[in-house]
Amino acid sequence: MKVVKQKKVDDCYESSNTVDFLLSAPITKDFVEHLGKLGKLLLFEEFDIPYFKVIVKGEYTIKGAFGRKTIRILLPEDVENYPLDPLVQHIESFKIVR
Amino acid sequence: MIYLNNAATSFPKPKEVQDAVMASFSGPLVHASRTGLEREDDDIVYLCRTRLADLFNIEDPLQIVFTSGSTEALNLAIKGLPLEGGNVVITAIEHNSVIRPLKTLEKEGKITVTVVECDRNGYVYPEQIAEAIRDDTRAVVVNHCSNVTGAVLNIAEISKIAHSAGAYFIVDASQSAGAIPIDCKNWDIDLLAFTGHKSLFGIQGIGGLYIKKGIEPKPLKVGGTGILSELLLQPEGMPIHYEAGTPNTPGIISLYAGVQFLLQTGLDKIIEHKKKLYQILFDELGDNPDIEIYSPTEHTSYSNFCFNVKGMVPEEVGYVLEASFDIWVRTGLHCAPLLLPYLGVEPWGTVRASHSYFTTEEEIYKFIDAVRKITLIPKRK
Repeated sequence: MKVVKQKKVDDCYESSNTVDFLLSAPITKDFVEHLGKLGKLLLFEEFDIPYFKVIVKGEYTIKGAFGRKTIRILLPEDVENYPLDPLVQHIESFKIVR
Repeated sequence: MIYLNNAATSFPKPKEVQDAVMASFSGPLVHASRTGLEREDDDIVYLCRTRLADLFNIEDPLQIVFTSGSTEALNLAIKGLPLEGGNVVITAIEHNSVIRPLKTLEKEGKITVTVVECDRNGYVYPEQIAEAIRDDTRAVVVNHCSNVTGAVLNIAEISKIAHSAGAYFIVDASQSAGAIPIDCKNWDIDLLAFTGHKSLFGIQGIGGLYIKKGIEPKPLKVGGTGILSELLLQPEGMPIHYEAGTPNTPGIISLYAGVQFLLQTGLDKIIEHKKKLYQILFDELGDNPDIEIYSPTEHTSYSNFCFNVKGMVPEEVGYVLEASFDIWVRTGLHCAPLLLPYLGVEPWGTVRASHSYFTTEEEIYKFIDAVRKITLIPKRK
């Protein structure tokens, strides 16, 4: 899995702390479980499109939905100051099985 | 996709609007006064003013000035009127398009601003405005309909209060134009700002300002008008005095088609449909202990369902609605920062689901089902 693009989310509030990652492939359950290794995984499979949250205590929260190609990361501080490289490396260590 | 963000911009537009805009690109959009009589669109700019005048009960369509939207219209009203050295009364439900021009003038030491409180649904009682008026109040600026909760203010009553104090009465009709009745003549409105791309079903980039006869704000811009080119100063006549530059003809065409659709469909029928959907939302979610609703059951446009899921930030509710249910709403402050403390939703704001005439009951039930499922997400303590 590759992080193709990063985009700071501009909205009414908490925007400076929010970033979206565009991924190179749709999100699968295996990928969500890979993200889940970072912290506590919450999965809501009963939703029309299953939704997940990964809470990395004291760090950040990742959220997204199966089949989408975007995940959202809520950071504890401004995107500009937060080191995202370790998260990108973890995402890109996931091997897509075709 | 289920689109419930019509308070931001309406979607879909009526087919008539789509067709009119597409057709506008089939020929050159030259100035109406320079084309032959056989061109059907020659008078579209004037016709649009007449339809708007019908909708807002304005006697002279030429008192309607086209702008890029409500923000420009409100800037023209606020910056153009002689307010310097005086006080301006606004309400807690104002949008930043009112707050920011006034706060800028206040920062420059030109005016003072008084903010009148609202209740927990965004309603402002006229008597509260009366109490806020001072000897030096030069203008009262009010939002006809809250873009957050959908609360609708009593414009006729507030108009009397403003005028009895000798103040200008400016109405921000961004949310109400095309959504609920507006009566400029009988409500004695001095200036009415509206946008075209919400409930009037036009495209983005078109709006306007009604200016009552006898009121003459300074123009925001001067320049080419396509006529009276020998004059070295801006022509004085209405509406050209305020319309320097090439008009947004595709926007005006879309607005004309949108207003025509409204008038032909009937505002009553449109309101009735939205009221039915609004009632379903309250019936199904009103007594849900996990949901806090901020929209009122009376004094309402029936267009905005403003709520929070208890224990969840609105951003997450909006994100899940979109990512997992393909339902588009708006979350956050909605550009109305003064309102937050009155709703008790600082600092995160609210979720706003805003339906339109084109929203179906089936879509509303899908939204209700999605919100119920979202309440199952573990909450913040």
